[in-house]
Amino acid sequence: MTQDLDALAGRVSAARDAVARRGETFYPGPSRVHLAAFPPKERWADWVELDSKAWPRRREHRYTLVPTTCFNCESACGLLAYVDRETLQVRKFEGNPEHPGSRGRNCAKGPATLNQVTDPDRILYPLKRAGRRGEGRWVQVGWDQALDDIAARLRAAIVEGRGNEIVCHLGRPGEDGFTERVLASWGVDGHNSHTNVCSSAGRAGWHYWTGIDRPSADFANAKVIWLLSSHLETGHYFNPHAQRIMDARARGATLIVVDTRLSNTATHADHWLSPRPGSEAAIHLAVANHLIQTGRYNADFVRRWWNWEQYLLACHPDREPTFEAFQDVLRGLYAEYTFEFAAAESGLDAARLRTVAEVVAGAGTRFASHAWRSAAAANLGGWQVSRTLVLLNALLGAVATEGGTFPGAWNKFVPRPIHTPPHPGTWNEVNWPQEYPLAMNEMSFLLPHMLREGRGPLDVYFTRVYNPVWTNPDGFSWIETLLDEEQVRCHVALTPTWSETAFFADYVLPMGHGPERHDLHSYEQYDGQWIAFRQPVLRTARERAGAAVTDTRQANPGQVWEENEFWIELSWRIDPDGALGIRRHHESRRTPGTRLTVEEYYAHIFEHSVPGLPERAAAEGLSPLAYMRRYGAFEIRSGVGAVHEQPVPVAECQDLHVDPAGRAFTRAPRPESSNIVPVGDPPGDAAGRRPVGVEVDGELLRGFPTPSGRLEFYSPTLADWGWPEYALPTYIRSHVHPSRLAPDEMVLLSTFRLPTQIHTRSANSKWLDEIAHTNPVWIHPEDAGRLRVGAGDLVRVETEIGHFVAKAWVTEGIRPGVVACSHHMGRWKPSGQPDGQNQMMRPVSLEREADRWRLRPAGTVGPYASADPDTARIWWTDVGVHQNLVFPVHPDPVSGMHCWHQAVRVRPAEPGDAFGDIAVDQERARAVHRRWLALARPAETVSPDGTRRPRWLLRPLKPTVEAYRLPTATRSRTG
Amino acid sequence: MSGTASRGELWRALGAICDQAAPHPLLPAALGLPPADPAAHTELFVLQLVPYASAYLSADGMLGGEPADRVAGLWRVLGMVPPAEPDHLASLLGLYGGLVDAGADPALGEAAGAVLVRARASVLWEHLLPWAPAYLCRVAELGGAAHQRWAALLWRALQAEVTAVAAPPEPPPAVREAPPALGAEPDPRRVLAGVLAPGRSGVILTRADLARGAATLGLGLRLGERRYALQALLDQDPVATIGWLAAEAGRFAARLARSGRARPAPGRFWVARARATQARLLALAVAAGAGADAALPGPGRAG
Repeated sequence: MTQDLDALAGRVSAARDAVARRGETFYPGPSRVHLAAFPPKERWADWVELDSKAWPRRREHRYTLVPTTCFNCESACGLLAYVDRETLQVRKFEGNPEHPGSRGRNCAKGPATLNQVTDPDRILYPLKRAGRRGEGRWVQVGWDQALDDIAARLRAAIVEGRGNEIVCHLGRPGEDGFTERVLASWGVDGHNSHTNVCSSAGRAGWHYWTGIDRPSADFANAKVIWLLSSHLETGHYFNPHAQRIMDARARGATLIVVDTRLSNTATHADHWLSPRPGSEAAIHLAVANHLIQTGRYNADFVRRWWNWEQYLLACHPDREPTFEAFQDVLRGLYAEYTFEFAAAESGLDAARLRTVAEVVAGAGTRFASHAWRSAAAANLGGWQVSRTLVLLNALLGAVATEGGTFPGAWNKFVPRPIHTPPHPGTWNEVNWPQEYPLAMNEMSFLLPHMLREGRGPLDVYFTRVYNPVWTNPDGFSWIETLLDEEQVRCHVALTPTWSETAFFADYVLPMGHGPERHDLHSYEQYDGQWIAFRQPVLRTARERAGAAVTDTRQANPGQVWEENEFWIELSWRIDPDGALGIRRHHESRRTPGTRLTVEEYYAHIFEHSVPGLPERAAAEGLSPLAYMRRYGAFEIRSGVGAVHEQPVPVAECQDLHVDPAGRAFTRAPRPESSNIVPVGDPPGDAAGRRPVGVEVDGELLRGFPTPSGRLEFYSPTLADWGWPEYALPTYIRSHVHPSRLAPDEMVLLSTFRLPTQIHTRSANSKWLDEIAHTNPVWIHPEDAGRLRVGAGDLVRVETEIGHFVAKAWVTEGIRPGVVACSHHMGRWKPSGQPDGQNQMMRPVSLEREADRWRLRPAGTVGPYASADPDTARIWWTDVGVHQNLVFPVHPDPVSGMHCWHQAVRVRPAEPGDAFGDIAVDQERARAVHRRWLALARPAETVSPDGTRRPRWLLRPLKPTVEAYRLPTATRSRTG
Repeated sequence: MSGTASRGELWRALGAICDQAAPHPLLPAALGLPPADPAAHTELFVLQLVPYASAYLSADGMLGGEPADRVAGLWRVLGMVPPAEPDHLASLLGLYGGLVDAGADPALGEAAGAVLVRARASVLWEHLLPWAPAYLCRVAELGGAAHQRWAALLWRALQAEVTAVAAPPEPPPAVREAPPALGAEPDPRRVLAGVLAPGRSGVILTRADLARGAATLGLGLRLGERRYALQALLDQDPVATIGWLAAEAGRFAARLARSGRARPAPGRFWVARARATQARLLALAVAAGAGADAALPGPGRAG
């Protein structure tokens, strides 16, 4: 009998191998270990489901399932579009089980993509303004007219040497590096990301330590998880993280959440710490001090990988440069950060902090930590919040370990594209002003102030899936700037849906939602590398049905386009004969002299730049492009491991020179890599060799992409560029520190997200709107009692520049002395504007009197007739308040990050106040800007080498070395 | 345990059959099973005999609870994340298959090998054998041809393991700490509630059984969950219904004993429980004033 069963098992194994070789599914999920309800991939081309509404009749729906990538947040989760084979319409979106990051799971925003596609209010045709800018009169134009007009402007600016008047301001990231390469092909330094209102400060903390600006926490294998706020884990883009955190918790991991607010994440925590806002770094340092004083840090890791020797030489030249001496110094460095000190700063109990520190001390190398925006994005010096969190990982040796946190770039793969234009030879002073030489990203939120000060104008300003009027602080300054046709001569809004910013555009050009465009993505979500392919699903469905589609507009609704084809076409029209040298970067290699198609673009990448993909595709008898069109994702590697510990190959050791600190340099050329993920670019040696590794215990290892090749506990960059007091991880008191608040002021937390909305783009998702549509002000019962407000009462929240009127929500989910109001809400459209979104945008009046602006609600949302019968069922009227309008700009002088927290006064609304009212004094807004600007230490003062910025630091669209030089007049002052 | 190097695949495949209404066609073919109608799969594994250990071992006959927690605990002890439904038969067979494969690794050290042996014995004796034999007995009765053959094959495979894998010294917790048998409660309703919990009664009564009972007794069947349907039968003719239930208990005990599925120790527990239930129901019928109807099959006579 046993032999019989073994033979049977052998037959099953053989059948399984045969099925796998055909790219089919033998077990849908390994024996229920994973989700098992996905359609087997071999049936994706013709998937049959029964119509539940037709029951008990058996009515079949036949679908072709097309994978794509969600566009609603940055996680790039996989979606499967169920395209009806009869009507060629998308019926629903579910998860793509072949996606290594999201593993078939989605948050609510993924399936709600369907709402965005079928939104009755969406923009379907190119529009050009017909009246004054902002007047709300539009005329439909053809793509040719729009392209020719914009291309002529761009060409003139480029030819006339006014390339710095071209700026493209990006919201939701598209394909990694695509827009940068378009601008590089134009020779323009015009890339302007939104990152300085987003994650710059969080990135800075990582970048100074590791040379890489994002963390990749191996949550699933962690023993202890430390989350700073809930931003990534249950708020904004969270699905791939949350599912792995839950895996870890199911395995018994301990979850520590530091969040002033009782967030979704905090409700899952084993230890929830609700500190005073801005005190987070003090908590980190108290835990670090505990590890140091009790000797429970990973001394061997610190000895091998920290740049302690460099620190001793720079700051303690009197000490012997030995590790023992460093340990001695280290014991004193953080001694003042006791639990009692952290308790006094944070308002938490010292014993509680000690308990948590003990948990951390027991984590060993399985300590996964994450900080992205939250406190880092909210406080003056917030970049030290993430830097002090990395200190905990670095002390424990939990860097690039199983269950630890990896430098993000090691878990990311950006394939080399078909064309890589050279670095632009110019420096855009509007995006990268001299005042902020260490800014992690463009000073995008200061643009109105820069233009007002005469640093412009902008001839062509693109906002691409971005809504700065609503999203950025100081929105009335944006409105003023966009209304001024001298400051911004042509504003082109590339957007799938109406936004507050699009109302102030000259052209509104409809770009596709996630299932209507191509992009390639890769994100750090575990210790592995994957790519995910966003594709216009109806185009692919038509092609599967045998139709030839040469332009995504042929498959998209109306005249909605995709950006890749748009940028290629626009570039051709700028340089139709190739004389400017632009066209060649958008030209076919297969058929020189013709436009590059998206087919060829991606076929080239998949055939040449993604290791393992051609072989995997061939095993299924597919081309690499066909494979990606079929599965939508590909895992290149899993278990990347500790890259810094990898030995440097002998072939790279040509004319090797190792400096006294162990940094190794070589003359061997950098090996060709198909992965062009950006990392720090440390300088070579004086003899012209490039850095190749670092000598550790006699071994030549790859190390980190920092100048020292090690983890830079001590940052010579910060010390040399004017901030020696911050060269070590330390605690900077926030601009909302109690010592800086008046007795009647409170702290407003304004940045927290809801898992069911995404900035302003999801307002056209009826399912999401029904779930979440308002943002009351969270007030602790103690404060509510003191202020004499009850639940639902109107309150006035006053900032330095104005006030907004909102409803109170009395809850113990927030600390006393702190109030909170969520992101996403308070959407509006100028009353009389015939277009716009109707489910979440209420009409308002915008009134201006000299420097004073007011926004007053002029109606509510409600049911309305449209092509979608559900719009007649809208039951909500309260869509919240647009609080960001009353926030002045707070640029951090080091990271450049806007520091979001606000010191506010809260009191009951006054007679005549209406819910949603907003009033702002622009002169006060400008005064606040000037006050924060005075904190900056400009390059012309602090640059140690006559350049604008340390070249080794990451920078989107890095210009040439020459462009880094400060202008001659300035340089003469700095040497 | 020789000759089991690739046997893990067999367990996974057997699990997939009860898990998937429409498995890949090569899967049942490789097992030598005829293709099954997806509707028959749904009828059997969703509507009649849900393949979860907890449904057959818990005190209330419901899903989840302690039996499911016990299995989840084993996953955790082995350093693995428990699946969403750890006590589903496919999960258990998948886990068992994984342990079989891991145990066959020639590079395995002695200590790790010993752990795997214990884990394998635990899954087999503590999590499969306490309920799978009785469950498969009913599948063989209620399933179509394909699922009958699947049940026979799975039983054969389990029998081979019973021979190969030594039982732990103690009876499994599911037996050791089994919920109480139907007691001498004066309230017939409480007794009848226990009848529908196999862990207490030793009898697996499905919706189809109740429909058959109604037809046999000439009573009306009210559509609804089992308790509701049973109550409706009792409301119409309590004596006849209780008598029929007693007969079902006896019939199942006899069938289980005859099939050989009671030979592994946990199976004997089921037979004993079923006979006790039969006796208790008969006593209840007497107490209700109906007496033991001579026409009712007595213990061991039902078939």
